[in-house]
Amino acid sequence: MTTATATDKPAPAFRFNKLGTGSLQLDLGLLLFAIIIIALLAQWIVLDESALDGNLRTRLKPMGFVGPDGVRHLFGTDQLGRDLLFRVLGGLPWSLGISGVAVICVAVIGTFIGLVGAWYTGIVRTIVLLGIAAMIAMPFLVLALVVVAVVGRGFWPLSLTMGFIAWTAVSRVIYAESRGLLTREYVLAARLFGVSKWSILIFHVLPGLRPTILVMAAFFFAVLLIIESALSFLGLGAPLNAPSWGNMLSDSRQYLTIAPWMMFAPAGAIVLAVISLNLIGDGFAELSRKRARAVEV
Amino acid sequence: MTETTGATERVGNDEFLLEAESLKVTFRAPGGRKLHAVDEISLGVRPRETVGLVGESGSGKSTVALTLMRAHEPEGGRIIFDGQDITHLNYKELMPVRRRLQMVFQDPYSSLDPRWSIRRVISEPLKAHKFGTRQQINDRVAELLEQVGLPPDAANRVPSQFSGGQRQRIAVARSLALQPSALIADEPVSSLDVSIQAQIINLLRDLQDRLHIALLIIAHDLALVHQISDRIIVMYLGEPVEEGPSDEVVGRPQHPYTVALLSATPVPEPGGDRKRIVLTGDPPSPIFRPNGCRFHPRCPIAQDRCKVEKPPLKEIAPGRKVSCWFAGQLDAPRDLWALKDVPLPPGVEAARRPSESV
Amino acid sequence: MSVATEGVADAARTAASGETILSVNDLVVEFPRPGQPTDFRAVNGVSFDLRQGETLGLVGESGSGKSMTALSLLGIVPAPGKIIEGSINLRERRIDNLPINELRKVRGNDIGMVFQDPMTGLNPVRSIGSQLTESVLRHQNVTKQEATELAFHALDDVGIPSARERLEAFPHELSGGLRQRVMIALALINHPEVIIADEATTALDATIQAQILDLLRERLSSATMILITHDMGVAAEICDRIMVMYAGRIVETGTIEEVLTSPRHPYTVGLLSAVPKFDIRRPKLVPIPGIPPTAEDIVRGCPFAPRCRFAEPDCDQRPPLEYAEDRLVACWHPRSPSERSK
Repeated sequence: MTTATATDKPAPAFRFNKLGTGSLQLDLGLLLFAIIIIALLAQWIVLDESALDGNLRTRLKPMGFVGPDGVRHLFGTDQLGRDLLFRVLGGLPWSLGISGVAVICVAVIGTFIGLVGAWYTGIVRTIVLLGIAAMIAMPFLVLALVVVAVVGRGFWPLSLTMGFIAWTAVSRVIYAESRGLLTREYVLAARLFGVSKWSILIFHVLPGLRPTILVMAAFFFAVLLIIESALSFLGLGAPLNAPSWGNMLSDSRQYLTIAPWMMFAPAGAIVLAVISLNLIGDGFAELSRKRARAVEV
Repeated sequence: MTETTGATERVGNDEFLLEAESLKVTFRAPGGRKLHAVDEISLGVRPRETVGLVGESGSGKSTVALTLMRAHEPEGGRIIFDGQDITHLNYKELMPVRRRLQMVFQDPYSSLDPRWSIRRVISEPLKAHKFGTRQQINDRVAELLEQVGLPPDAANRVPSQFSGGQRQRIAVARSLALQPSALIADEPVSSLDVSIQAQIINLLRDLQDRLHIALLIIAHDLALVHQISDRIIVMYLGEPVEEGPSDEVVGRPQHPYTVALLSATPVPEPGGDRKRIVLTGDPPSPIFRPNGCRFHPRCPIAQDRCKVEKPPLKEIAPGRKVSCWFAGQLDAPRDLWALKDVPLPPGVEAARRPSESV
Repeated sequence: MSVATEGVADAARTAASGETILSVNDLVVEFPRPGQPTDFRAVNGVSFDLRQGETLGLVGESGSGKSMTALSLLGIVPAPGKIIEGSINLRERRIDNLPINELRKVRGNDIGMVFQDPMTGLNPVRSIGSQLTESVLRHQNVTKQEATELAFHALDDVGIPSARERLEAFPHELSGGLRQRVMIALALINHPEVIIADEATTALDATIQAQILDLLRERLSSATMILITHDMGVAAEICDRIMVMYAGRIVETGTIEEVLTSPRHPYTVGLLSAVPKFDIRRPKLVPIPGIPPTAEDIVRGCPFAPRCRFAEPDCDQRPPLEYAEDRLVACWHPRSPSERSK
């Protein structure tokens, strides 16, 4: 019997730097995002509930203004005297939450539909592709308006609306990639062993899709954040009083000439969040490139 | 079709474990035309026998393999495994068959999921057929690794840590997991280095001896197929053109294509600059097939009849089949050789009987 | 051992009697290998002479360095690899350290190369006629009309039917065999001194390979050619002399007859025993255990020793390429003819 000697090559893990994940972008992105999360937690721990109440005597004060109670308003106050920084932090759960839920919906629905389209052929595939095309043709804004008109505003209506409409781009990408992955010989081998189609999709195809899904999720998170802000800005999103960043921007429009600093806080928050998410997405992309090189050898 | 009440009736030839009867496979080519990948092939593999299916690209040999495994649906004919017609069984009904009929693929780099550990790769068929507890599965994996000559700690590694030959061993281990009684190997060594090919070929042969498996090996290398097979079937453009015991087909080929293939295979023996039969023209397309004998455009001895009438696959002796108008006329191959003044490949001399000397 | 340094050039003079066209001396091609004590040597001290009119075979498996050697001759070693030692001379002229514009004149004009995969060797978006004429116009001083005529003749010479019409065809419109003929035409069109064929027939069907080998043998019988292949049988078909390579080194040289009838190096012996040869007696194939060293491995002493049946303690020193009777072998214990079969 012939025997073979196994080579002693090291396991092909991409090497972690001493600190960090091996990708500069990912590090930066995570760092920024961490700042955001810390700020999120901080508002519940450090700051006083009452800071959200407005004090009409200190309304429309510029950045750095120190109020009578000794509180320094780093970003100034708004038209009701509310500290803007604190309001921005209060808006975190809204904005991140709405987009976060939406991203999860988008990822799940998009992946599922992409997989179904890739696996089946014939009439099922045709229906799926037509369905995707039809969905793309739907005007997003109109749908959002309709939903808001019917259901009203709020966290769940907005996030689920976005989630159930925006998945089309994901499904197309997943469809294309899955088709490629399904041509691999190990998929054929699994079929010929009698492995069920769902086992194949979940255990062979999905792991191969993971980098793509992560990257798309990061970028979509940013996109949906902006959309949410835009919708709130237009008055279609979060309820009027909620400290959503879009709302705050909308408020700041009226006072643009007399209190221009009102827009700095929410705009800054949006920019920070979007940049960090984009960096995270870039970072995922780079890591998956590196990993793919190691794995596919 | 057989009934499924009480005792099931056996179909097909009892001798064969795996059998194809007049198998026909067509695909749709771009432009709506038909691609005739396989056109009426019948073959059978007995238990403990090795049958080699040999041909060049376009011969349809890989399609035969995949169709036997039911990866493609045949347009005509039937597939019989252990007396049971499996041609139209559905996914669920095929499961017991899949336990016993397995396949090894050509490319060891894409037939194993690169993200999976070897243990997971080999235990995939075991899990699909609910083999047993996790401990039982692990034990079986260790047993299989040993059978193919890999160390037990290989189970924890990933495919990228292994060479091509080692990966092919893993693929073989995986295909043996459920103790199949028949194995189809589709070009199992073509992508490996020459010195490694022999390792895998010997492995397959050893395993076949020990585990009493029926082996159908698909390859384009006639020398390799001759080395390992008991019987050879030569395919051209989707059809079998010659069949018989290996030594017979190689020693006394009766079809001009077999002669040409034999002559074209480079052999590392001195005197290599012998003259050979070199076919003119390109391999034909399975979409636009020639009339009459499919081989006639490239055949060195084609006659008018060959261009119009298609020769049937005739059994000129027990187990010996040829589809050529000149088949069985023992003179024909000698004429071929004489025609082109081609010396026989080495080792083949022994097969010639003295009474047949020219 | 002063015999060794002279011997290399001497041995090259055995078969062919023409003058030396190409001379390679102690060629070393290295790839950086971060994290390891030494870099990886894909070609580790290769020397040989190519004489006019001979067909030299470079035979080896993957990792042997045969392709890298060929690429070095044309200066197309892929980055980050580099030639770090040795020299390559075309006639009397050193070509391994030429500036790029001089090197371009050598490629296609003095040395022509036929690659394995015609789909990557030929530009898929240009007609084959235009690729041929482009090469002609770059190296020869002719008009466009004359270049087209030369292209037509080149295609005709390599046996492409309807050559005139085929000038307009694109590579994907041709079959594998015809594409390979086009590659050969492209390599030959400027009448180079040397042709290098790198696994030129590996991707082809057996009967088509026979056609191409026939073409190479007949039409180029007087050409000076290096044929790189892993298939000893192919080398047997058209080579006069061969060099067997393993792990970046030459381990054996000789005429094709010599090497096939009495291989000296255990690797060559193993290679020949591992290949099926239509032998009715059906001797069991004797594989070479283990695998060749990879780019990650560090090789000490004789690179073949870990797999060698005949290895002895002194094989932990690298054996030089020197004479064993009449041929060059890199082994401390070269086999003699009687020991060949098992």
